[in-house]
Amino acid sequence: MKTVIETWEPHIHAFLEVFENPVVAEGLLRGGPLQGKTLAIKDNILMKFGKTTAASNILKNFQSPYNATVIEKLLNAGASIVGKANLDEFAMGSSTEYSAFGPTKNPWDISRVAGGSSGGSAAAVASGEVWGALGTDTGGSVRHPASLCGVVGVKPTYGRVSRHGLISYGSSLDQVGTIARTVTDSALLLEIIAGHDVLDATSSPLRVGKYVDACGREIAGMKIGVPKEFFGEGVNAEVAQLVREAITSLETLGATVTEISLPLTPLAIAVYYLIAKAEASSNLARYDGLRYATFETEAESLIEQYKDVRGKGFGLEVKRTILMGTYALSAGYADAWYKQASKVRTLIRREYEDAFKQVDIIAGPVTSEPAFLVGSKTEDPLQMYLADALTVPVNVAGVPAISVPCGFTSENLPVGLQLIAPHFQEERMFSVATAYEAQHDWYMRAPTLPQ
Amino acid sequence: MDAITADEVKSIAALSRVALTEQEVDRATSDLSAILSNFSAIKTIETTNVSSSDDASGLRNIAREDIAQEEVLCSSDDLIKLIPHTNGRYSKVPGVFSESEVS
Repeated sequence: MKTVIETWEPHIHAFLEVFENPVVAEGLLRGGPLQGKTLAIKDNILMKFGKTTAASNILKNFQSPYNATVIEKLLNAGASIVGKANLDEFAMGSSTEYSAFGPTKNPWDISRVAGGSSGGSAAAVASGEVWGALGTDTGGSVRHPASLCGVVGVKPTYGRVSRHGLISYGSSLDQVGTIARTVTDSALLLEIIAGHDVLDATSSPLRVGKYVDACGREIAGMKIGVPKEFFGEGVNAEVAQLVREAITSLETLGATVTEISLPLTPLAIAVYYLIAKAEASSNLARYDGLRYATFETEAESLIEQYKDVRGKGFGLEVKRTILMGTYALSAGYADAWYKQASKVRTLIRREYEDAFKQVDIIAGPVTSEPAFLVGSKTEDPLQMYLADALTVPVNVAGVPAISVPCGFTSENLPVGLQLIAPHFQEERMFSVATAYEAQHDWYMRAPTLPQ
Repeated sequence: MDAITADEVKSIAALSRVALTEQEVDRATSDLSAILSNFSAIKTIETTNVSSSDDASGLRNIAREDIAQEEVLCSSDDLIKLIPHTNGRYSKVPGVFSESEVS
């Protein structure tokens, strides 16, 4: 009999590598909260076992000599890691179509994208191939595919989870996040991977919250703010309606809902991409074909080798990233682009700080539209960037957020509700998310295997 | 205008050590022009007295004594094994200077 992975993989391509035997901690006898739980790991997180490719040709043969801190934590908790999940190359994209090894398809409709960049992780959970998964969220890369695939995705506060062993994209934005079918499972995963790490100087020494305990806590009296800018033009009518209904249903649980304004929301895309691409252009400088993996070249001088290996090894979006980031940082342009973006980022952060003086949670859509058709945005990078319009403000502000399934469109495509909390207040987010989740049966629904 | 020219793209590509085909240069020129014109909206925001946001985490620099640690996670031998071409414990690379530059 075929396994779930064997049944689904030919249709969705969620995995870049499936291990013959799941990886478990050596010498772990029994116990641990993740005992018997199967996990997929986004392939930009280093694991000693198998390859870590970041879905890039430049790393197609790379075998990490060590595990990321989050991997060690999962294994110590008893998890079974079954494989490495597909992603947009170096996590740059919103559809998983920029993977050098082929796109991941949405389990709810395989003519559509799974979202991105953690599309493999979200599709693997949605299809039931695995219990849970790790992704990374630089500008929405966990919440976006979770929303499009109808599963729960968590982007923790910047600094909440160690990034040691994560392949860097935008270092002031990157966070490891979790994907699971239910809010409580997501809370459990986050509680296990969160915490300070001496190997990551940006990880916070603050105490890790009791996320699982926070699930199911009363939300009566909670103040929910709904930014009007999250329902602006460009937001699909069905998505807007489902999300508004979800927010209304929180009122029946005793929460109060008020409209708020975050006027800089429309500029977050520009701020985010200028900063992310600038940081990425620097982070990607290390891939020279000399150190991490074999990449054959016939170049005769060192500089020609660099150019040749990078020109052939990186895909279209990664090269666009390097060019845009280098441009935004170059002499004569840095003040107008990178530094201006960094200053507007300060203003966006203040907007969130001010909003959280009035409300406890901010709620809105995760994405402006449900899963789009494969191939519909790959030729227009600006349209692909705009897919992140409602997720990037969270990363720019550094706050935590969760995507919770909140219904289906008339075409049976999942839609996500986004709940945003202040820095290090993940518990609050989990309480509201479980309260909402318990009122509906969205999390019980699963896609059917394509014929 | 924020439009970027093909010559600028070529110059940035050279600075960032990426070989591009002519077709890639053309594509990047039009893509980046479209993206940057959209992003130029941030220039309208008044930021004269606003500080930049370089301290994303609010954490201070963290330092430790500069003592070599024998093995954190993996050994230096493990790292050297990843290098495609080596000479002993050195990474072997093509010449930095061409023949004519040397003589």
